[in-house]
Amino acid sequence: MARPRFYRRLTRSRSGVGTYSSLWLGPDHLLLVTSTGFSESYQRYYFRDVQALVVSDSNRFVVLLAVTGVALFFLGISALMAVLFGNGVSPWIMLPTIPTFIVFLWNLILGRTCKVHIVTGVQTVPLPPLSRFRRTRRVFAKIVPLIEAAQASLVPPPIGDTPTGAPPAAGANVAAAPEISPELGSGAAAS
Amino acid sequence: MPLASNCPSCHRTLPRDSWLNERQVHCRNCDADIEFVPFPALHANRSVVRSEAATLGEDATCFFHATNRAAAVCNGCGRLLCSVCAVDFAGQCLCPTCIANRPTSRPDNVSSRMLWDGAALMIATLPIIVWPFTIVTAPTAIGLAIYGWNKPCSLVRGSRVRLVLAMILGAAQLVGWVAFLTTVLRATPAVRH
Repeated sequence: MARPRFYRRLTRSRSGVGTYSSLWLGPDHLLLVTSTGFSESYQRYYFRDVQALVVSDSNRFVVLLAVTGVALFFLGISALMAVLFGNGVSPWIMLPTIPTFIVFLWNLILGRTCKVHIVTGVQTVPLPPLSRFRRTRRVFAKIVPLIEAAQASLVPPPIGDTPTGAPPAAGANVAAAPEISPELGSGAAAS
Repeated sequence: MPLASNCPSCHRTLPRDSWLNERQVHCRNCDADIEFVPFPALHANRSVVRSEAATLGEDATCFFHATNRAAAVCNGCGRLLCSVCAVDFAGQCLCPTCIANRPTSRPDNVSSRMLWDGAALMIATLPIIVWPFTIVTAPTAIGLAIYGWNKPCSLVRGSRVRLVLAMILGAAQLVGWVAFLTTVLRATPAVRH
């Protein structure tokens, strides 16, 4: 009999230096799993404690595009030279070209890169699995409503509902619940 | 109000005039566009927890602080706690001892786990590149897989597929070694006295 699943996957694993991490959704928290292959460590961010999510641009997309583009350009020139002045394209030149082209294309398909941080009362922590704007938007669409629901008691009731003379509720200076900006990641090259 | 004083990309101070609006900022140092998605907890009033001193002789006092008045009961051990010792943890009011000794059978209490399946599979697969080592690593992988069979596995991947795979690979390598040694011994001419 299959065991009930406590966590649902939000992102696939993203590899770092000797580790890979992934993001999972729990009943009332986010779970950041960092694995070395031999062991896993878990960090939990409860929805009620999340103060903000910070999304910033990252130049990894441009760097990877430039590096693979330049490599493809020179490999193409080499192939052209071989066709024009040699005895045709050597199969050896295809050996680095194919993986380089795959990386180039894969980077284009995944779209622009970003860095995401989660802000709590005591720390600001990066979320390495959220490295692409498209994936970030998809994950935010799932978790932002959950965080807002968990913090619903912190949102003050409308002014008309507050009894006259009654003390303001806890967190009465809270602004309206936020929404994800549609501009997030706009202008993406491939999104 | 700016949500953060430092840029999360370059960690340099964000001047106030960098903020385009309440949610967007452009860092001039690293030329990064930063977007904030704030939540109500950011602006919520934080109450400062202070314990009250026990004044009368009949006041119930905290188990850990004899001079503090009890304000809560631990959901784990039932001890009386003052406001300082009562910690709101995963929806429960617990004392520091219960938090330290919390059972790791619950998924939301686990902070790290050894992956016996990952270790067994890695030991079974990696030495294939330098195959002579497999005479040692194959039984090790099988032993690790057997040892880790009843150990708690990954919190997010609950299957034993890797353990089974490590056992199969280790057994295959051992069978290969037996076949290899048998062939070598048969090919060697027998020494006759």
